Amino acid sequence: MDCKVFDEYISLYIDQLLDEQDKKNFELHLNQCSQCKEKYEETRELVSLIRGIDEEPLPRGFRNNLIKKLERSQKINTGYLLRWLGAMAGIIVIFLSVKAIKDTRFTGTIDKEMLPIEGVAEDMASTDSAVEEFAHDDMERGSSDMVVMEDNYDSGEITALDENADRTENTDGIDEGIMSIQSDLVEVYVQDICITPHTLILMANNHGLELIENDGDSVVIDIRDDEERSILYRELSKMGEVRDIGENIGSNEVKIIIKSKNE
Amino acid sequence: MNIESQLVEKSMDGDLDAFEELVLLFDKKIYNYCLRMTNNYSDAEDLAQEVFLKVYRNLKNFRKDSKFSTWIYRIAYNTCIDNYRKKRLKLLSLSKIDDDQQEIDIPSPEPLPEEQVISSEKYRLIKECIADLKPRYKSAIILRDIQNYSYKEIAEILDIPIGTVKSDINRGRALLRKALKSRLIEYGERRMK
Repeated sequence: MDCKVFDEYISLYIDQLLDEQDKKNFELHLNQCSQCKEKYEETRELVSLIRGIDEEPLPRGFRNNLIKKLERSQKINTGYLLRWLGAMAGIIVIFLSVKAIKDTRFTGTIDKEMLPIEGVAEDMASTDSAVEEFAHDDMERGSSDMVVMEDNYDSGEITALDENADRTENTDGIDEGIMSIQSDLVEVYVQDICITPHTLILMANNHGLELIENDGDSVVIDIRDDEERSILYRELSKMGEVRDIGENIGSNEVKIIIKSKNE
Repeated sequence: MNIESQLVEKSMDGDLDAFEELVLLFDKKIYNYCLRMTNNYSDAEDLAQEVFLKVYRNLKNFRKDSKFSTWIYRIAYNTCIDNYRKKRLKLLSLSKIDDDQQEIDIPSPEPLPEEQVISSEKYRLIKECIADLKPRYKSAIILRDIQNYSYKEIAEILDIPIGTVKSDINRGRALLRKALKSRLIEYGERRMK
């Protein structure tokens, strides 16, 4: 065994992972080469020093603070569910109203004054995005009960995001309410055939996100922090339904695959 | 089914009490991992809390066929890397150890002035040296030598081949050995003055 191989084997020898033959050769060289012996002794001392570093106690209040944050997180989620149910009920009413308006155009039998939000209802009949715009408009006008509907990223379910709730319940900068990409693999289900991996590259350029890989079918983007995770979620959700399905949470490399909604 | 798996199962069903018990199993380890990665108490506290919140919010993505302890460490590693990247410019300017840097030429073989160095000071220096390593090396060293994980478990946590773990641990220790030696000499010289 020469000094170079000896060097490579030092840690494996200390951790007792060398097979019998390599161990013998290692020990033979150890007794023949004083420089390597010194290196080995120093490494052994270093490892025992590191292993002697004591585990430190948790900071005061660590568990209480964490539990409070977790409970708040759960409360917000439950709150969303309730608001979501409320919002769904509202949407059903609006859809029924719209249907009634359309029926009326043919039959003329319903009194229009009975319809709740006649002016906007027609605009809302067709798409989810219309629902979202309406909700934003209403919020700007000062309605505190209105919620914004967003497609949830993982399973196509819908989560309600109440901006007012965020301001009041989420005071310490936790991002429970902010939708962001969490894992290393994202599928975007799009209806528009014009949205391709190239669209993703343009989007990444526009937002200063670093492109790592582009294999024609998917792209890999380098994500540095939570802000970029939120930006990525926001931009992808404009393109289609976002499914954040990777197993590696918090990875800096996020692979994005564009899929057709009809697949 | 062991207690960890039972708690994971219940937590995945939305049982917050079970998740809080799970936290108690891992909080000290994760906090200490973050502490050694950053060598900063305040950062370590924030990062460890962030790790548990991320775990809680992403429980639905956890695959039961993998080990929860491996998964939580991987999230901790990624969270620390995020933090490192945010601070990397500052770190680069302060870093005394860098893989790209030329190997430090140590003017020994004079004996280390170890007898002059009190034990706590030696620990302070080694903690600094660990924190100055590149994330991949320090993570491998912390998991192996402080948290006592096997090479195979480290490969799973860091999602790298076992051969890379072997070379990272060896390289990390070699860098640490040189850095510590150099700091001990500096320290001894300062005390002589």
